[in-house]
Amino acid sequence: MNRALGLYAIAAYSFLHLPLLVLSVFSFNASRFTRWEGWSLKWYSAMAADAALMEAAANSVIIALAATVGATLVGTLCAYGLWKRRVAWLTGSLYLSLVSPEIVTGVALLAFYQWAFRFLDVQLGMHTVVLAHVSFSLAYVVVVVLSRLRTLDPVLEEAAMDLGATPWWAFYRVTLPQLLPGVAAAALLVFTISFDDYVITSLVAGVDSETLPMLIYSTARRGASPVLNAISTVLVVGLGGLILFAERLREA
Amino acid sequence: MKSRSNRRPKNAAQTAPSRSRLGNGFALLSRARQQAVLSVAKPAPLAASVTAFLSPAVVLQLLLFVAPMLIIAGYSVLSRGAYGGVESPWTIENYQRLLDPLYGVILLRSVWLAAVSTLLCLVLGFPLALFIARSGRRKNFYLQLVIMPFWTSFLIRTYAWLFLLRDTGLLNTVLQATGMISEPLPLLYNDGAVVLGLVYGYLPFMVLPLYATLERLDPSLLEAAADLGATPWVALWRIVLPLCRPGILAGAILVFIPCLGAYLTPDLMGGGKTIMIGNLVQNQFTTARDWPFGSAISLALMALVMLLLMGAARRKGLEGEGEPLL
Amino acid sequence: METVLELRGVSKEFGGAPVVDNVSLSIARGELHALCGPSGCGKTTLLRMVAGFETPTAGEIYLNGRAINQEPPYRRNVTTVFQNYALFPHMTVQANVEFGLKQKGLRDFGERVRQVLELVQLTGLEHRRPDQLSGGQRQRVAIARALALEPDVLMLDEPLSALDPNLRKQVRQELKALQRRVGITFLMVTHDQEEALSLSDRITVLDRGQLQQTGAPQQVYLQPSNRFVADFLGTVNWMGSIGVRPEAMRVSHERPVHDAQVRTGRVAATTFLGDAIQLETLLDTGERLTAQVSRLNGAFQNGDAVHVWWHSSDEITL
Repeated sequence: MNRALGLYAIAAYSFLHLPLLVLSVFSFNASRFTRWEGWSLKWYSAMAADAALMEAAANSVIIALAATVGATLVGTLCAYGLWKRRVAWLTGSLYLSLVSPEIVTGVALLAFYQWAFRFLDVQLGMHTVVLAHVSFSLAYVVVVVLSRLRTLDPVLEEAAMDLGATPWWAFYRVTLPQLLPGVAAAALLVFTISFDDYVITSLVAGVDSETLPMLIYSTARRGASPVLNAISTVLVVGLGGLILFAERLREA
Repeated sequence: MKSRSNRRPKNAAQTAPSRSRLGNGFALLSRARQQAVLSVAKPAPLAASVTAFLSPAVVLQLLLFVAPMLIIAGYSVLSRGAYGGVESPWTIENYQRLLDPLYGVILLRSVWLAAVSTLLCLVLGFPLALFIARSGRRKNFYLQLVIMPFWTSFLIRTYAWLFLLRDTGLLNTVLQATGMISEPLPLLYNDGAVVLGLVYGYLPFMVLPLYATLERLDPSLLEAAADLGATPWVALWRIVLPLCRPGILAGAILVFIPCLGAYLTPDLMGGGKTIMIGNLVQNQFTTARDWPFGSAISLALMALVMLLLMGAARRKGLEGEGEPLL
Repeated sequence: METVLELRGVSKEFGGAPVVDNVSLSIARGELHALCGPSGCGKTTLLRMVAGFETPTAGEIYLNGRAINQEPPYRRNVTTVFQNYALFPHMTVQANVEFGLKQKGLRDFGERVRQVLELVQLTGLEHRRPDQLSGGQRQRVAIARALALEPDVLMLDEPLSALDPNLRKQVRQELKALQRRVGITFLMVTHDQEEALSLSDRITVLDRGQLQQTGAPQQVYLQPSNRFVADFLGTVNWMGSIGVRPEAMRVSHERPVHDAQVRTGRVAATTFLGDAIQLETLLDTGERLTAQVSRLNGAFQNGDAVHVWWHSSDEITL
């Protein structure tokens, strides 16, 4: 039975990894069609020369960084609070936001923004995207940080207070240092899911805030593009590396 | 020394005071009442700081999750405005439209495709989880190998299938070049393609909880089964599979829910020919500009998701708050 | 003697259930006091109320004559050695010991830290982290950390329970010697009556949240105020309201010549305990008595006709 399992695993891992692997190989294809004509880096240079693409990438990085800072900060504090005190509605609300279909989260945010704009003189743009990203990634941070907190001994903070530390100082000196790997892992996760998001972003983005996934989506709909293969390869390697790093932190 | 001298006192502790406790019952009760009146509720010294830690998230969650949901809940009972906005009067017509065969078909298809995808994930994921759980020291590596593609851009992974399956894609090109087919096979833009995309996208959601339960499985149970004459296949069917039920349930929920609300996969791999609920919602908010109807569909979808989760939580498991779902 | 810590009618309820029930107790400066009782008797809750982690539902706690009920833990000059030590895993031994001193805003505490570490014989291990220490060393770091602040009361929650059994007796003596040297009041919680008896100046026995008796070890052992205290501190052969501890029971084949309480019966079971022999005897009256005798007192076989006797002065009377 173990041999059969082994063979099956090879097939399953091929199913999971081959499509991206093949795509990456063809990003080095000299031809623009799916016929192999030798190695070339020309799609990568075309990618680098594409101004719209670079702008979208820059937008994505800015949005992802801002969302990461916001969600990690708020989410870490929240996880700590929930570790100390059960707040049933907040936990429930966070879990609901975690399982809400993206499209629902997206249209709800769009409806909320349009409603709020009646009272405020603002429009859809980078800021609305950032807020949306902070909102949907908050629950991820809480889940990751809370699971790390659960491995800590709550008595340590009592010990700190017993020795004269105020609650804030006990958090800062005793809990936070032990929490940092979890916080860093959460931050990296937020960065990748924010950088990668298409569904919600496309609904709440303004004219000035086209992101890389939005560009990839519209290109993919138009048809095959060897430049897209190159972008995909860069993203897969980049984000994959980031996630591997995050996983290593989470285990630390 | 210790255990010897401890034995008697323990029994005594259980019996002796319980007698006096009974006699004092009334006195205790009245004293407790007195204290309850006298002692003003004193906040724990640290309560204030916990509130401070929670408040940013509370504000954010109320403003950017609860309020938006309430707004679409409100919109779902209003009428469509002349220029795509919303207007009074109140109506439940939007919900009635969900039952219209035109949309009912889409709802049913979504449930059907999500169910098929979930079942396929289970069938494909179980042996993989079993393989990982039995791979000894390399467990973590094989697990990472499952998780990794999941975290690398969903959009790009879907695009990779477009690259392989479209009419001018790699598969058709290769098949035509070898002369096996003359016309490209219609591999994309059908239900099968959507299911493929969904299974590919959400297989890790199935493998992870299955692996978690398999990993916890006491290996001596299998030894006991073998000892009692069960072949490995019998042990798998009669011992492993039944004990995996919580993992199967968790995995099924984790796959079914995102499949049901999928938008990107049917959009790209169904190419507008295979529409699911998610596409219908998106369509109402963009092209059709019928926000009240779109809100009603969204709410129906949320209700379905919550029902599933509540059902699963009742069955077992998910109530453990903070237990990582991912 | 000067009172350092006083509890007046302290009670604590959790969800309406009393865990500590109207306990009044005063601790003298410099004494080593043990709170003991079976698990769930409220001793740890009592400790946590003194430390400030729980607020009493009723009653007042006084430290140096000042009510401290409303003081948060970080403003009370009492420190705790936690059951599992609660050492900060990301800090060195030195940083752990310095932690409290830094909170107080003290400067130039290097000498103090050095002295405290020397006191608990940890000199040379300053830069280790907790996970690089043995169980006994960790405990000494926890004690040093609590001592460094020179608290009015140092509390120890089951200080020996996390240690290897072989180590316990040795550490017990060291702990007592340390307390004598520094002269700080120790308030210790234990469920182990032997530990309480051998270590402390005074013992308080609690049961179901209520104070049963306070007194010197000999006093509570020999003159327990009720049956619970008597049974908790050791085995007792009860004969109505009179009790005799097994070690006060003598057993002989011949009738004793002393003026003593004598019963006759047969040996029902003998158990070899190493340092003693435990004899279960069945009296002619049908009562069973347990005696613990030296193996030098002679050999006994099951079924031997024996005399069981004791001096009236060894009786526990309630």
